[in-house]
Amino acid sequence: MPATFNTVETFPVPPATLATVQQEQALRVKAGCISSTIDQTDPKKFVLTTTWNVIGENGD
Amino acid sequence: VIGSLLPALVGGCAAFTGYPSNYQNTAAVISADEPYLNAGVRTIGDNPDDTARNGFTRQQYRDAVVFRRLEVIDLNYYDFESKLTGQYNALDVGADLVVLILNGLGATTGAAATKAALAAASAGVVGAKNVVNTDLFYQKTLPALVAQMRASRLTVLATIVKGLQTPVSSYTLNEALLDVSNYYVAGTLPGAIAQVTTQAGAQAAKASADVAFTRDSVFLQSIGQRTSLETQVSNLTNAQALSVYKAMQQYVSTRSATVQTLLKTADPNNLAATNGASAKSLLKYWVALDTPDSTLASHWATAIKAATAAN
Repeated sequence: MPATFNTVETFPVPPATLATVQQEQALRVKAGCISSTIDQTDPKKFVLTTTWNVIGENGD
Repeated sequence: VIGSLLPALVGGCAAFTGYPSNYQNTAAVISADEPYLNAGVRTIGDNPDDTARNGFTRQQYRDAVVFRRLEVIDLNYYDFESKLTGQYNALDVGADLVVLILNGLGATTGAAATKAALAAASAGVVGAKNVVNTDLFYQKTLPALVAQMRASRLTVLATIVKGLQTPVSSYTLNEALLDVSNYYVAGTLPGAIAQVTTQAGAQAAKASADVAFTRDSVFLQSIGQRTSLETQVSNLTNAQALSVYKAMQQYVSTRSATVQTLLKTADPNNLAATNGASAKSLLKYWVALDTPDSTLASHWATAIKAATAAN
């Protein structure tokens, strides 16, 4: 069973904007995450949830 | 295959065991239980006429069938367990079995680290076969499997006992016999291996914890710096990444508790300390998610520069 973990990052608005959080999301993709999602449902914050591999647990 | 090995393992054993002699004549007991072991019990149990059951009600007959079968299973189980754990001279067969078990676990467990550990243990047993090293099998693997068998048997037994406290209409003889079969399986090595494997999978899934951060403006403003660091780490060879990680490892304790949790969660077995590819992966996680204050940025620069110059 692949082992993963999530990082859940809360970006209060302000100072965060959708554009800045998207930049953060792009960096996580570049850094090797499995997936990354921005939750925009709360106007006071963005929540960036990113799933990562646990190192060595997935044949890496 | 395991089943074919078990007779060899439990047969031809030494006289010495860790168990006292059974206090009862097991053959006689099993013989007395014989009427409750045959395939006709279901038909007899369903018969509306109590005379078909020598006056037993359906519930009384259900209980009698279940307890007699449990008794036979227990007698055979304790005999099996005593032979399994009480003998100390069956190295060859024991080693074969443990290799089989370890390989089986390695094949069915998703975690690469676990696979590696099991494979190493398996290789160790193969290598030890000619130097009379029974430690792994008798002191580690087998007691764990016996403990699992005992625990699983108790779990199934609790289900059976609970069922027997209810009317035969809600816990039928057929249902009870199914649980009795489960009770038997719980006391087998393959059953224990399956249970241990399931638990290993659950432990791997347990790693799916969340690491939570609340980001501030300082973190947001460092996006350019973190992106640059990520690019530099991506360009490292695995050997260079290993050097950088070794240089940076000493600063982990200076980072926030959340970052430390992140690094530990990402690399629970500290593979980054010895494996270049793992080091590179972990460094990429780290630089993307940790604010590089001026001190840390300096450490990153120094470590990357030293690694790229040396390798």
